[in-house]
Amino acid sequence: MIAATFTDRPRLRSFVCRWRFVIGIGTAIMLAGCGSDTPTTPSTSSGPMTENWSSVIAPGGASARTFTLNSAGTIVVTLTAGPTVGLGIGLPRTNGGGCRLGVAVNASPATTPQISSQADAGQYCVQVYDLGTLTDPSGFALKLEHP
Amino acid sequence: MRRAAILAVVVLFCLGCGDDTPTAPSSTPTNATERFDAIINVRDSKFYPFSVGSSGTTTINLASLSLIDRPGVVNATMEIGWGKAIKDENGTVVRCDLARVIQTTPALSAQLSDTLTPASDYCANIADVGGLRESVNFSMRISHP
Repeated sequence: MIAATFTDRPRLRSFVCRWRFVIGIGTAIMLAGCGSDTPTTPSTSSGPMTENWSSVIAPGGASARTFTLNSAGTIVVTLTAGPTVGLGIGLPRTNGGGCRLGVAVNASPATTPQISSQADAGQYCVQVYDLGTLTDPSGFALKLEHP
Repeated sequence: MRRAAILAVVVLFCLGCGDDTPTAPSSTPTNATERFDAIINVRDSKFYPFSVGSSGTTTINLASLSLIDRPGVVNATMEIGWGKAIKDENGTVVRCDLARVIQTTPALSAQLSDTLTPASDYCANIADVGGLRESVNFSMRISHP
């Protein structure tokens, strides 16, 4: 068909050459589009979190609150108001409420943290408990910072 | 003819420009975390069987040692470890043959980290080595593939 339209040999050669060039360029462009898709890294949202918590404990009682660490890091607890109490961090009980404490101190309200502890990712609880000194229900407030 | 050539180039060029949907990250095996909560008596030991499904890191954490009748922590040194779970003919785990043990106090980060191969039935163990004065609650976390 092509040969039928191009009776002149040099013109035919020039035409074939041009087509080769066009096909070459086209192939190069097509191959350039076929890159290796590097897997996208999942975005992480792990900024430190601050939670403020206030409640009341009765004489001989305890009060607990659960929280989650999305990644390993440092848990910092500051008892900011209330009487001198037991303050601890642990794992939430699997049955019922409350904490199974892993770290605990006797704490009086302050502006500096009473507890600073490294922890793996997971579920935790902070607990405030009477050391046997309370005679009336008492309010307290604390600040909890964690990843 | 030239127009056809240009058109062909444009078509090929456009074919190369696909909508690059972000590739989903290849999934890495996630660990399961199991809790082993119980009471341990003075000079006693307890074990907890678990199954490792694939290769990867297993961690064991003695997270809590607490008094039974009042709040607070017990900072006693305990022995924790892992071993092979030995079953009887009915498939019941009857023994924990310890392969590795350490002595540690409770903490919120894993104290023991090992690659357990092959994938099989293992056990986590806790034992009092003289640190306890009374029975206590304990909580362990076992994170495994």
